[in-house]
Amino acid sequence: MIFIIAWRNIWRNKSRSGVLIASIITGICAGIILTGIMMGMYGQRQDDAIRNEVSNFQIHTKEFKTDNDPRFEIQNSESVLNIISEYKEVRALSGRVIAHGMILTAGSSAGVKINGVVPQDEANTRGLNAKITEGSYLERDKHNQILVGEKLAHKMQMKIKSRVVLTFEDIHDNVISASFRVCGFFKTTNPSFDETVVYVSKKNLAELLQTKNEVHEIAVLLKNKEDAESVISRTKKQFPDLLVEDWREIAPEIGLMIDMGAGISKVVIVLILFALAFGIINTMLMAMLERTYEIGMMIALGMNKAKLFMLVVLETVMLVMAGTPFGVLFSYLAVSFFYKHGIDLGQYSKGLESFGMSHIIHPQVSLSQYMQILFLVFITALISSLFPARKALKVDPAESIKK
Amino acid sequence: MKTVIEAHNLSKVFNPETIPVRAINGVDLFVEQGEFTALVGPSGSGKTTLLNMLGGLYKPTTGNILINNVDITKLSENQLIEFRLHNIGFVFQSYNLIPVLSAKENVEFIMLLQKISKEKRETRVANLLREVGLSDKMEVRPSQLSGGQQQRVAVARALASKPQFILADEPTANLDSKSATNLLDIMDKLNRDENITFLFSTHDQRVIERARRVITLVDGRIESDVVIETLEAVT
Repeated sequence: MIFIIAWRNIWRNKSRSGVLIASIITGICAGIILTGIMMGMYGQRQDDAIRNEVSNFQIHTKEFKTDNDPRFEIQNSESVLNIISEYKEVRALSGRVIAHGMILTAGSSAGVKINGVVPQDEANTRGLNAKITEGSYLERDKHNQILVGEKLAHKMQMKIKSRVVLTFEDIHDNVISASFRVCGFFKTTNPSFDETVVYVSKKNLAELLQTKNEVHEIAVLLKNKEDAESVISRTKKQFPDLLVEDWREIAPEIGLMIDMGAGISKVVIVLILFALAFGIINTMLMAMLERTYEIGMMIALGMNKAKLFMLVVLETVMLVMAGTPFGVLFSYLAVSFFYKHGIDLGQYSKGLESFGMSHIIHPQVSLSQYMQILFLVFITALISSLFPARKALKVDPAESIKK
Repeated sequence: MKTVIEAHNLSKVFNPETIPVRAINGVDLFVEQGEFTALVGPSGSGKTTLLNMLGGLYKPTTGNILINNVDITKLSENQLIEFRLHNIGFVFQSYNLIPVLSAKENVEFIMLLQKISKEKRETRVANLLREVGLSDKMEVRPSQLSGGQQQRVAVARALASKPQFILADEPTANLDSKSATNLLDIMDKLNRDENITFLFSTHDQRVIERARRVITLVDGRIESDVVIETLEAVT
């Protein structure tokens, strides 16, 4: 009966309840869509980082990670590569020879990370061949070819076939300078990556560094990111002397950015719900004020305080929950639509690119995020109901039925 | 005869610390099972205050109220609510039905609070609404009932909890003559046939004429207490 009274009470003042339900729908839509945009933005950034930059995980020697010294190669790297390539979860992997040095043109210079790669492996892990904007991709075993980021090329006024000099230290601490010809420019979604990384042939760089036929870095791309934890754990067990790190450990700034994005969206949702709570409290307090007489009568007849409290809480929660399915439905439809078609934030593209983000956002909200938002809405309704319930409990039956 | 209400030296002072208003002043009252008593007096004489005290809605400033030998002035707020639920029926001046419930649900409401089984509730609701002549209005909401019909539902609701007595605060005040007479007929019949005790506060001459005991209050004191049937003044 309390359930029936609470439900019917909601519809006593249809316009007032309607306005509140509309604001609940709007609030939920705003919260979910905003979460979708944030998660879409940062999710894409995460996917881009994995796909274009760091892969799901990387393997180095512990010493190389600390010193970046080319002497610290992964021993028996061919065997390590072979074993990992047998993992069924692995989509692609790439062994890289790495040097840190300078790139010089006739007029300028810049610090770069030089990646010596097998072109096909790098195409499979980073999709580098698909990111060529001008010129051509590296050719296997072709000497002295270099692939540079478009941003670095523009900054240093390079052209295709320009000659550049790379300077770095070999494993005997000798400074090596070698001349390369630019074969192509690449562009990823992260301009700072494009500005600081260059690619040459692995064989070419290994010869210049005078390393054995080993690599400094193995980057592994998985078929599903959900498998990362188990594959990393297995790899760690299999190669206990090597440093196996997931993308968050390799690029903590990206992880931090994603966590911040998720945190900000949560704060915004809490603020939306906080504002909503005032609307709920106001509506319910008005309802209690109007029904003082009725509440007094129910107490006089013998309705105890626990039941009265329950009645007000139920009414508030039901009022909020009456709008919630529509809010969830509308936001689900909106998120699905924009996930498919994308939201073009073209006018902010430069700013977004500087953070390594695409200007086309595909919002995405996971089931757990929907559940979290629903839980927060429920808690908001519950907390909001306490004030009107307290007001109802304070009604003096004798005074209220005097009217 | 069994005494259902026993009040000793009752007084009620409102705003005792600011501007004290003595609404009831040293009232002693005994009501026996089956009485049909009217509490009369001019406005401000303390009728509603006395009724509210007897119903456990006001705590008296001094004195005791015993209902079936339970001193309700000693009960806590929650105990009083529970006591009212099982012992006292109320009929208010402004009908006071729950607007979102049908006539049937309004009568059933109090039995639900008493945790009476569905089967018993349904039988009793049907009987009570038949007794007050509203068998055909069971599913109708209060807004679709006339004032007289609403007050009859209120009487059925008051009876639903099988109380020791029914307190009715000016039950005919908002009713037209025909509805008032109809309501009084029902209450009179319930009193005579089922020995249900009624205590009214009223200005209505029609109620006073039906009452078998008339207590007159003036300035919070009982000025007269007359048993009509025997024409015997007891105070």
